[in-house]
Amino acid sequence: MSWITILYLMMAALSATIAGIYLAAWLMQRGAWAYLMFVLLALSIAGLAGMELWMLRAQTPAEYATALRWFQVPVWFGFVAIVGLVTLRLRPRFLWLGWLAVGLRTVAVAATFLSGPNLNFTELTEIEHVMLLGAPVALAGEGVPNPWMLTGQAALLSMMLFILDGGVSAWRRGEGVRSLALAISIFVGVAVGTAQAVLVFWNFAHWPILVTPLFVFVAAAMGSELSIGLLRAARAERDAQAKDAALSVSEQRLSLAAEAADAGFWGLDAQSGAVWATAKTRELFALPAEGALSLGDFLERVHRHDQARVKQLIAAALRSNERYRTEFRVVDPGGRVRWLAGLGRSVGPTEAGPRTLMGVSVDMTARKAMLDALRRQRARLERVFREETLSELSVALAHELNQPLAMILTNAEAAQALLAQTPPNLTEVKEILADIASADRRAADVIRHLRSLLERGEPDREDLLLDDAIDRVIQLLGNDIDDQCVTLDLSLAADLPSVQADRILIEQVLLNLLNNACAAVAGNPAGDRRVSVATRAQADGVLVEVTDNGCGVSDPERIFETFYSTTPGGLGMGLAIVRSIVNSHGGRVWAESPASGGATLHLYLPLTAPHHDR
Amino acid sequence: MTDEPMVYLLDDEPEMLKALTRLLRAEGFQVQGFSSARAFLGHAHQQGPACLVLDVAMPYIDGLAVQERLHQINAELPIVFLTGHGDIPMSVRAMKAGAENFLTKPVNAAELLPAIRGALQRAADRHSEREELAALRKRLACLTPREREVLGHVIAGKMNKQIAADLGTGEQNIKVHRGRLMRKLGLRSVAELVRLAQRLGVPPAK
Repeated sequence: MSWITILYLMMAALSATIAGIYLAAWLMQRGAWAYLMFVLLALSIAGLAGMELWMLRAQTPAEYATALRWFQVPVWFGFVAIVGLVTLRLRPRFLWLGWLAVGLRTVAVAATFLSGPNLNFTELTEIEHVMLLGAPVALAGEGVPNPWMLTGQAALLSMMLFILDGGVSAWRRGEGVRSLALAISIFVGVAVGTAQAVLVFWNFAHWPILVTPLFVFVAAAMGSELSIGLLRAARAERDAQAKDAALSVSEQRLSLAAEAADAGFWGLDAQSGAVWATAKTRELFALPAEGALSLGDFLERVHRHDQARVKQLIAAALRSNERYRTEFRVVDPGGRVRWLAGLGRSVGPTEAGPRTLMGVSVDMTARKAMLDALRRQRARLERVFREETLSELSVALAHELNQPLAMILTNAEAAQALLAQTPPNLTEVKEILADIASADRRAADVIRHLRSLLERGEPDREDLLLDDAIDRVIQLLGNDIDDQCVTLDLSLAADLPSVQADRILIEQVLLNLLNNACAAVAGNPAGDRRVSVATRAQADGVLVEVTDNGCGVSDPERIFETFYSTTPGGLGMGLAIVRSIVNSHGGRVWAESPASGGATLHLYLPLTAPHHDR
Repeated sequence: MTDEPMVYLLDDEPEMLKALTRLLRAEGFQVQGFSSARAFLGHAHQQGPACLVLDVAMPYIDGLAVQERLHQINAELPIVFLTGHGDIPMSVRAMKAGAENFLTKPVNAAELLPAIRGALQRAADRHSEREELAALRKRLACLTPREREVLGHVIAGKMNKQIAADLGTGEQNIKVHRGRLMRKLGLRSVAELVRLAQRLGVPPAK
């Protein structure tokens, strides 16, 4: 086998292999049309190598002519491939040049099969043989050039212009030296091929046709460029995999943390209103485990008293990069109420661009219940303590007041006796009256002292939602209300602001008001015991009204006096304590009792109580 | 010293003491007030009928202790207790120990005055009884030893003959002694003699 044969077979095999590799690359990356074009180019080179080898080894002019005819087929494919690659890689401005080249070449191929034995010669009478690499190779000897050959050469010319345009366009776009070098390489390859064709086929030179090496050269230039892209893609792929791995590790860490904290994650796309949420989040909000979710789905679950507040918080969080933290209630379809703690912050550009609000939600119900139980227990202890103190104090009070009272009584009776005498002993009566007055003053001192002992300190203020306080008190009273057949009617304002108040004391106040209302309706027939609680927001405070349809009060102001009681066995301390608590919060409490019966107790608390001076 | 009934007041509160003193004086009682138990116990009591109005809750010596001390020295004073807080066990103790009454402060004149009058009545009764017994004792003291001997036998229910035999003398002699002692004591019947002997604590002969 001659070197020429070996060389051509190697070129064919190599081209086929490269075609296979790029076909695989294209299959994995369907968008990379350059790969497909390169496959076409490599296959056409393999074909070219075969045809050219056939020509070189032709023994008769007829065989050479036939080989030359079929030679046009791979040339056409190679042509299309090069135009495609140039289009894709260099993006020339004048695409029509490319189309023109392909069109002319197509005409040339058509002419090959219609006009004669081949495109180049209408008639080939003789072939010559020259020695190349130690083997004889065939070349066209005598023949008549086919005029249709001009179409092929015109195609070559327009392709060269097309390539030049591509190079210039790439350079103008500032794509640097590499694009320009590529353009020049392809241009040189094509130009040499064109020159060869013109010289040989117009009988200016006697050379064997050696087009394949030129195509290989063009392919090498193109391929080196593409393989850089291929390598880059591979590296990008590897990086992406590494990133994915890292991401999945961090994701796992995150989900582990979330699991440990029993927390649900979610993200809100501000533009579309769509929400993605982890399974835990869906569980917390009692939402379906599958399917798309919107902000509305979540808000629907939020307790109606918290909805306005949560909406505001989300809107505010989307406007700024501030973190928000809140607690709110969710109600599941079964009516079960749970407390969630929410923490979130928006990410993304600060301007009005698309933003995402990311957040975490944790179930607080159990903790809240525990805190509530603790608070309630503490309140109960405090109440017991207060009652205990009260009973001790009342014993002391009784003793302290008894002395002056006894003295006053005895003196008064002595005075009566003295005045009954004839003549009445007025001097002594005067003395007695002076003593009575001093005893009276002593009694007043005792009471003043006692009051100072009973005074409590500054209330312990916190942000208090009156709705919550009312809920808790009703829970505390729940059984009593049921047992007494009282119908309780709540009309609570939806967006009541919170007040600065001592939770325990205010609950004590509400407890007292509700208790009194229930006691007031106890005399009504069982079906007609109604108590209603209403809340209303006012300009700078909150108003609570507890109304009953009981017997009413004869003197709405006296009921707040200490030791004034309308219930048998009552100490008459309840409303006095209520008023003292409310006053210490800078609020007011008053009663109204219309002639039609029943009574309404109004409780007004300011949003922010000024610190009270005693 | 007069025999006018006397009300002793004992209360540690000077103001209260003053008020009570005024009231009782205005009501016509003879009153003497003390603000400490010691002052009261150290004071020489008058012989005539008297009672004590006593505040139980006094410091140092409380009312009940005063009552006990009075018993010890055999001073038979009816006591009206006053207390700030009527506590039942205390009043029971006081009444068992012979308190005349137990009143809760503040006390009405309408309650206090009858109680004091009652106590004074009791005191007066005891006083007159005591005086009668003293007169009888005086008469008993006038009897000769022989007459005392005969008296013992008479109240033991013995006949004159028996007494004569016991004392180793004649029946006629006994009759004379018996007539004299009945005359001296101003009695007419044996029954009266027996009752007198009982009141004065004279034991019958064996």
